[in-house]
Amino acid sequence: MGPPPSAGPNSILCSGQDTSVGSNRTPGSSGNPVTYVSSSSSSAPSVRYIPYDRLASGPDGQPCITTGYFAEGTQPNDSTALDPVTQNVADIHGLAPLEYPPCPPQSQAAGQPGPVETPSMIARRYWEQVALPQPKPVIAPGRAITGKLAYLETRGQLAETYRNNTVFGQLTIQATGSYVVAWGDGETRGPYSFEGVPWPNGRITHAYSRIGAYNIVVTQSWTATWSLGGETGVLRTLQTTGRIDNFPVEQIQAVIGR
Amino acid sequence: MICIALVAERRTAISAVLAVVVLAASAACSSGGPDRSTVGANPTVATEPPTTTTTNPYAVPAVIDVAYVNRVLAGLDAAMGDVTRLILRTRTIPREAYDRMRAIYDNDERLQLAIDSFQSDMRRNFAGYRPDPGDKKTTVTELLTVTRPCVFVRVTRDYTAVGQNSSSADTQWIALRRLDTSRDPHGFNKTQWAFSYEGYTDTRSQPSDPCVS
Repeated sequence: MGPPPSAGPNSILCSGQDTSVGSNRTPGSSGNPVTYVSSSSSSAPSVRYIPYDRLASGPDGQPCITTGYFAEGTQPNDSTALDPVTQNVADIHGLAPLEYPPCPPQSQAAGQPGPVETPSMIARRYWEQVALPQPKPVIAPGRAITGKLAYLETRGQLAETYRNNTVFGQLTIQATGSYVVAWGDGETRGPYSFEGVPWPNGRITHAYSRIGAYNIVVTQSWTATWSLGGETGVLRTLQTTGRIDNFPVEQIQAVIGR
Repeated sequence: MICIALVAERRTAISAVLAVVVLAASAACSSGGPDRSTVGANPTVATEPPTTTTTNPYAVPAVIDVAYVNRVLAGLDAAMGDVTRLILRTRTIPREAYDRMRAIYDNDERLQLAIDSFQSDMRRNFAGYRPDPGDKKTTVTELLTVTRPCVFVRVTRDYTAVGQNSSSADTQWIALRRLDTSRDPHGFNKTQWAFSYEGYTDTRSQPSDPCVS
């Protein structure tokens, strides 16, 4: 095992101490990174380091997510007891997720240990690579009539499981999707956590009020959780889209014949 | 919301100033009432409408003094206050907060320190924060190094507007460098200066001068 992560940062309320902060080093290059002995003495108490999603400034100046660690019990104001395997602080405190891509792998510096990898980072990078299902929207019979409901068929998938073998074991990602439909006339509806199906059972419908050719965009947002090596986490939301361009909306006029 | 409130306050202030000016003008007219001859002797002459010149309060003066550095620090405190309020409101660090912080800090090491501090506070569920925090107040106590590209000062920082039971006179050191505009493509930082150092050593002593190294 390598050295323990450095002490965590101060609060922004009293920020200032010029310490190395919020380490993104793993306590060890393999195995469970959560428990770690902080002292050279074998009788010293062990210190548990809790992994968290650390927002970092990437090499290109863009924000990205890496894995940071903080020592359990170093934050006296936080009386919440954590189970690092099943809970994270963000869930407990109702924090919104950090919607950033993973940081690129760190290259190995001369004389230094190998690049740092954690289950979280492996899961995040894999999530960015998976080919998510795309909706292929259709509205039968290929046109709509003003004042009448158009039934949108999403023709996608609402859930998918991805698996991949990694150095920490098998990575499992459970992904769930929901649809938002921009009907092209300024109206956007959703999210729908069910598939759009044809008349008469479809529930993703819209009535146009004016004739025209509309560009309909179906955006599917994918949320996901990962589990790997005894750790779990939430992944950032990704999106896929499907379109119907120039969808014709017509009008029926009554004609009186003689 | 904060900006809107500030604008609203400013408009109110402007209205108040105008009201005072009008009252003063009317008072002047009434007080001059008895001696009408003087009015005829000094007829009102049409003049050009007054022009408003806006001066950049952060333009670097010929001599950088305490007042100027305090003005810049107040601008940076306000910019950081906006970041704090944005993070508190959204309960995350949104992209805008990241971009604003990147514009406040001269280098990624300092930026990372600020991000880590916020993430630490988030893990504590923002314990100790006021529900609607204001800006911390930084006041120069000594100019240590002053050059046009770099300023190093000792300051006191008052956190009482930000946190409950916070320090009102925390001695720290700050180094400012001219803002690299590539770090602020959105123009968030109006001061044109950025922190290249803020804080203190682990012994709470003065750090080595960042303007020299």
